[in-house]
Amino acid sequence: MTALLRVNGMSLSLSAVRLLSEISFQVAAGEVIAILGPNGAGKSSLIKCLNRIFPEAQGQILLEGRPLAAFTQRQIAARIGYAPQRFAPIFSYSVRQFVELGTFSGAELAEGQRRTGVDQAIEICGIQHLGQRDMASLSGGELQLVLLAGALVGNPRLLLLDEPTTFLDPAFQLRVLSILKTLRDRTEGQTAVIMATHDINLALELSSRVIGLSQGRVSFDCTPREILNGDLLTSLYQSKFSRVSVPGRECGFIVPVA
Amino acid sequence: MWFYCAGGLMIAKPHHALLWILAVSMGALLVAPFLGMQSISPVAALGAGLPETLAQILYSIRIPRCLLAYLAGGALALGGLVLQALFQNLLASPFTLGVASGAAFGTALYFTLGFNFAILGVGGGSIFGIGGAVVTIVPIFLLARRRLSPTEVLLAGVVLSMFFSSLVMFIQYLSDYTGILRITRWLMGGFDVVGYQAVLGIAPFTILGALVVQSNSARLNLMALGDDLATARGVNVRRVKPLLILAVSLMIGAVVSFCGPISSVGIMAPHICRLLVGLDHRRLIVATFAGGGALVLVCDTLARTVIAPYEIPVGVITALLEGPFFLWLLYARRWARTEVLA
Repeated sequence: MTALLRVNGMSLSLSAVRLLSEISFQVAAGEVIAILGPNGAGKSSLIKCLNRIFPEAQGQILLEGRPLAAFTQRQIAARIGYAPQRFAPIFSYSVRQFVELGTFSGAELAEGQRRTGVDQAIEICGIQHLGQRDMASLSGGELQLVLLAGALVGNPRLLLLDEPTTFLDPAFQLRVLSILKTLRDRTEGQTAVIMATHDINLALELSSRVIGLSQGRVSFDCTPREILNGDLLTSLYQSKFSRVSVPGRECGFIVPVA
Repeated sequence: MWFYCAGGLMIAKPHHALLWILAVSMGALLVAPFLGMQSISPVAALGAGLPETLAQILYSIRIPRCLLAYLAGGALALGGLVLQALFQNLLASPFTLGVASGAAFGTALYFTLGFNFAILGVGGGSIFGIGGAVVTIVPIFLLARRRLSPTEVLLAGVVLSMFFSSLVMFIQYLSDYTGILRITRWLMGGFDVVGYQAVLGIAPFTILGALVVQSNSARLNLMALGDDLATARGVNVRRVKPLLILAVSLMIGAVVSFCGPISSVGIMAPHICRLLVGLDHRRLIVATFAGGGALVLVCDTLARTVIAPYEIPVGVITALLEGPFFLWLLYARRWARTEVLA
């Protein structure tokens, strides 16, 4: 399978602090990759290197076989959607306005096409009823769905999601999960997803591969099944975990044990 | 519906509001030159019936003064709008970030050192003013790149503003009595000019700066979300941000060198226009320039008519408006959060 994104020996230092070291992995079209790791492991930094929010990253990042530096920022945005972990708007954007801002990378498209793209993203995330609401008035869960919709505009080939379910109640977590599954179905498995997450069960349920990140280094890169069979999580988080069997769920549930 | 009610105010819809702002702004520009201690009839001015003295007042004093006030107001307002978006800070302005104080220091230094030169037709005062603005904004920009919070960036701006204001005071202290008076009066802001030299002095910088800003209006929409999201959505922030900061420095430096540091416009005009025309910078930039120009023009017209034959420094009037404005803004933002959604 041709790699949509290939990362070779990527490192990142900011203000003389080493955040990432010798990161290597690749992503094929349609793959869902979860990045697990304790707080401060470098998950968000890794995500931000992949769409050049952190241009300081050293090493090789190839998108569609070409170095990331060969793309303009607008070309990158047309291919890679991004939903941040947090967003506190200063100005009173409405939800629709915010999602529409995602059409900047598709400036060459006709107005109608761009509007359709916005409508589709809003529909996939099920936030039609929030269209005219002020972003600042949204709950944490609603905000996360809006951020996801903003990332989906323009049908990017790769989605970067930075902790998409953090701070969400179980109902919203399930909605995010459902949206990602819908997206997978609609794009016939063509849209790849890389998500940084603390939610081990979401990672096991949705992803085809899991990358463990510890102190800025890749500690493992394996399938969800391989995680279940070893002590990878224990060594990653320095905590014990137990697996609870649940009917109809192959991976069961992973819970931390005191 | 053509109008909607918000916070007790009747506000036109955003695209209509822009047309209203432009119409009021142009109206102010057309009417203001005829107002003053000596009223001048527009009818007489259009015909050939204007006495020579009045013609001289109109064409050599009033019109250049009104044009200068309009351009200066537009540039100061636009500077505030751009800085608020770039630093995601509602209190950012050429004053709060110290740009105006830096420009004032540069210009005061030029006057005090007794320089008198021009390079390629650009006066030394403007060059020193622009230099002062750049010297102030560059550290702010570098601090912002180190991912400081908007509050920390604002704090750095306030500190720099105080630093350069202190340097201006030091220059005043070293000056002779005439120099002290001159600098003090200039610091209060004013458009007391004869002829078009000052207008021609700031027009190229103002127009060039405004064009640079307008050509990046779609990018500004995204940059107001923060650098990370703007980059993720396709803006080359590392290229666009310095360009816009340079454009603001050019505008503010040139305006301050001729007109003095006129406060408050850079805060008031962008906020009023944002409430009226919404958040889309493609409309907002035009509205803010026109609105800021009209605001300063009206203030200047009041300045030279309220206690005529005496004149109030225009900076005093704009500063007086700032307090009541912020109280109104606190009230207005309550409804803006839910209703001004263009």
